[in-house]
Amino acid sequence: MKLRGSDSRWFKKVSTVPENNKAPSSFVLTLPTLPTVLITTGMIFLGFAFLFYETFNMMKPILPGYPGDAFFPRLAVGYTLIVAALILLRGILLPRFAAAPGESSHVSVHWLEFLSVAALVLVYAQLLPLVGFELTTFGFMLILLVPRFVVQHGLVQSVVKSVAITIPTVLILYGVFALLLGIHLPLLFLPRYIY
Amino acid sequence: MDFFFNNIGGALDALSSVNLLLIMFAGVSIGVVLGALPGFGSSQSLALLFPLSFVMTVDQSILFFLAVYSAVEYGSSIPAILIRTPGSGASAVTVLDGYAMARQGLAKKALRISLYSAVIGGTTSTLIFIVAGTSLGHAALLFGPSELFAIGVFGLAIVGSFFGKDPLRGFLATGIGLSMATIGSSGFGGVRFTFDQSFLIDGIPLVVVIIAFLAGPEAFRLLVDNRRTVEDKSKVFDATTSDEKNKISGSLVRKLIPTWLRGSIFGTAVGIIPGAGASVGALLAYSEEKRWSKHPEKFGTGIPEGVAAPEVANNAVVAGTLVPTLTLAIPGSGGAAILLGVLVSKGVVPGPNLFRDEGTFVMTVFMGLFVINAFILITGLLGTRLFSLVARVPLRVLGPFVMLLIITGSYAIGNYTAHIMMVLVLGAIGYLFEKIDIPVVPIVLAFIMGPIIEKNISRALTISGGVLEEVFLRPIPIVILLLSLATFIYSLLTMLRARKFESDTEQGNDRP
Repeated sequence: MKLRGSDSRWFKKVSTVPENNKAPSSFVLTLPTLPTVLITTGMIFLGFAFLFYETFNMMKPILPGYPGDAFFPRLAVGYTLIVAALILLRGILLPRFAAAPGESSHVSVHWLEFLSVAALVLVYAQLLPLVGFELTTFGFMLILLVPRFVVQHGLVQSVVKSVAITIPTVLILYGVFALLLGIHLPLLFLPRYIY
Repeated sequence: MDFFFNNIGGALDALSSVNLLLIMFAGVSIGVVLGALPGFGSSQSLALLFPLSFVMTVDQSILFFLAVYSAVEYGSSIPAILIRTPGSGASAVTVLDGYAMARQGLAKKALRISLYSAVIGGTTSTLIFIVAGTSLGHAALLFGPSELFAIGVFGLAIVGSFFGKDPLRGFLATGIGLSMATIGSSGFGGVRFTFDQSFLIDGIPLVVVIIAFLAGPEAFRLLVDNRRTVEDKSKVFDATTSDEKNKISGSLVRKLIPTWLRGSIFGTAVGIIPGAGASVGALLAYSEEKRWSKHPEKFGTGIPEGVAAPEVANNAVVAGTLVPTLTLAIPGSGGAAILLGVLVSKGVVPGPNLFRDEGTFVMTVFMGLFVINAFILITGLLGTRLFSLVARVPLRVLGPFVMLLIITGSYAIGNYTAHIMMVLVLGAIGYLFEKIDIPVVPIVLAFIMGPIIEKNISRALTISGGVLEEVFLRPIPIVILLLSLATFIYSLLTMLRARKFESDTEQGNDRP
């Protein structure tokens, strides 16, 4: 799958970011809505077909008339399979009716930003028990806030603003979660009170 | 009326607790602030705050979340009036006349009308809720497990058809939610869809699903789509002008009374219909008000009725949505789903038996809504200046805070980093689903309703000894199930008709 500079019908590079995000970017993945819906539904269909098969490996009912483990999952998964099949059939046989009223023809995702945020949360989750809540949260907020302030302010001012906001944020969260709610956050240097 | 008189004493006793009053006041204050944040609706706000319910009793948590829910609906009108950005979809209609009033130097007047309308809508619908809820609750006591199963299916059919632009995608979302609810221990001695993963044995925690699907996509949207958004500050209006033309006169109040009454009725009625929600209520009230008006051409130019109608309706929806939530365990909206989730997580089983077994609790909720509306009035009158500042928070700066709250909240569920991962994965899926118009609210609604539906169908089958005809072919269940099928087919036909009309119009426009 080519993302940048692709001449594919399905994946194309766009030069501008939607809304008023003014900076031009080549990190925006733009996809036609209908094929994306159909591919997603196809993947859901395959996944649920496997789950439906799995229901036959579940424990059988102990007594006659007793619904058993597989009864409701089979209903729920079977229903999902039927709906997914209807969406696929409609998309293939009646593409004119497949798009929802008022739906835009393309969807855009700033994939680099999306993956960066996901990776940052992943790193946060890994570091939280090791480094402690205070430093991990401080770093997390700083990494996210500075580039957002830079849009309007200089780098130094952005860093100062971010630090000024992040420190009270860490303290407020510590106050609410650790002190008020008594949740056991992995703390590095802030005092831990035992209730 | 027996229900009322038998439980009013206990309810008033519960509400006289200073702790409970402080919790409701805190809920209102937090709710108005969250509502005033542009683009932040009731579902997202309640989902973010869900972890707070861990340390509260059932009375405290339900009243806290009701306070937040009601206050968010009011708070969302603040950015709609001041910066032309509705706090939630429900206040989108308020922009039309609210912002127009602000441009004429009447921002404070518009905010006051919005506040009074919110309180009147909330109070009136609570009165209707007391009558409708108790009557429906008692009628529903006649229902057995087969009927309750059929009602659950009907609820899902309505939820699937209402959310999103395409009913089929809504139905797909309900299927995904129902299937997710079956993961983990079955209650029949086995486990389902765990694939030997120990963290799945207890299933996916409700709070993870709520935070991930309701707050997660919003966090991703703020961080990814609004990372460089710079709002135009020149359009922010001053809400503190205290001149003569910003005063609410007695004649204006008299003029608005019919609007408030009509809006309250529309809002409550829409709230009772599962899936319709505050946005539909506000839109319906606005369009009806325009139809009833002697000067419909003035709507959209900045008239008080244009602010009062949607605001009274979207607040009336809150009490209306509680009727199916508490009596039938069918949540009418994302916010109601979270309220239902709070109840379920506290071991309270919503449904008709709730009125019989937990009468005092139900009455405390009824009476608590009056107190909450009084707090909204006080908070609104005192905090206009502060809340108008909140409305100016840039969207791009809001994102990191929302994501941090989500992470901390999901970690707080048992101090387990696996929950952060679950929220991350499901939240990312929710964000991508919303991009292609697969609605995420039905996933949450179905996830909450799934175990209730399963319990009822299992009970009905056990009672009947596995004879399906006895479960499904009884008069009430078969009528309700046929209604569900009709809802399914009707929503598909309506969508096809709308699409055909759109397609024909496009072709007509393309012709030279």
